Amino acid sequence: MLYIHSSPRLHLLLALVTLLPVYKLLTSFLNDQFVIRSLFTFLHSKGYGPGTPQLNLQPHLKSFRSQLFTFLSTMSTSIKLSEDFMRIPKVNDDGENWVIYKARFIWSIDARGYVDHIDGSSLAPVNPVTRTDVA
Amino acid sequence: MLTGAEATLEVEWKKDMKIWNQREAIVKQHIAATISDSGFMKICGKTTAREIWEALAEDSEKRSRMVSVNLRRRLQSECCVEKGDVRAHFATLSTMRENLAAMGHPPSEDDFYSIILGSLPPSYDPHISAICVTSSVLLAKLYPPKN
Repeated sequence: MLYIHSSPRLHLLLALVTLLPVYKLLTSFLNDQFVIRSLFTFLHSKGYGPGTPQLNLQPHLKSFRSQLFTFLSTMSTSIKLSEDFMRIPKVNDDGENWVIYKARFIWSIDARGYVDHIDGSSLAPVNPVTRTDVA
Repeated sequence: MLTGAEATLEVEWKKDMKIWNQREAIVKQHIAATISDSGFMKICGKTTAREIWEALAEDSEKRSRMVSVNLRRRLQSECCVEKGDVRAHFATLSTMRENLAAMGHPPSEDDFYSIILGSLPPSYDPHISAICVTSSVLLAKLYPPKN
């Protein structure tokens, strides 16, 4: 230890050896596209850099979009295996929108080709084989 | 024991049954996804989609009828106060009428006409009678303005 303290050249070497991994880590970190881009976005939103801040561009539009999303997620439902025509309003408990719900439900189920299960025209197939030997 | 032909028939039937059950389950799932939890509790004991739908329809139609009778009564008793906002009053009446129509029991054109005329404050009476007389003399009916 005494020897190390006494030599300034060794000091420099030691400092380099310790700082090299840190430097490498830092450069690899900053080379990452995502980090750089998010850094830029952050600075941009704070008002640095060219142009107007991006994040404050259209706050009313953003809120409208989120409102629309909330509206859609609360008012309607969609079933994964089908498309948009499965998106129909929920029926209220007090039966307030029943008439509309009924029509839309039948339309949507008809669009999928399952309306015969609702109107009773499709019955479960009957086993053609009558088993007498089943215990 | 089953004969060869019977075994084939049964295999066919099992295939048909599987498809039918799947379709049935899709319909049930679709109903379940669009009703409330309390509504679901009422119908979860039913076996086929048809039974579920009929139970739901009966229940909802009963409730819907009650709500619409109630709303109809409110529409008829709706009144605009003297010096009140007539535009707001008309907007309320139209909303109620639209809600009634959504429940399947819209008031007829004549009913709505008399509801509107009857709900206006007494200070409108001379004006209303003048309009009514003019329209009867001209043999013209009163219509809402077309947008």
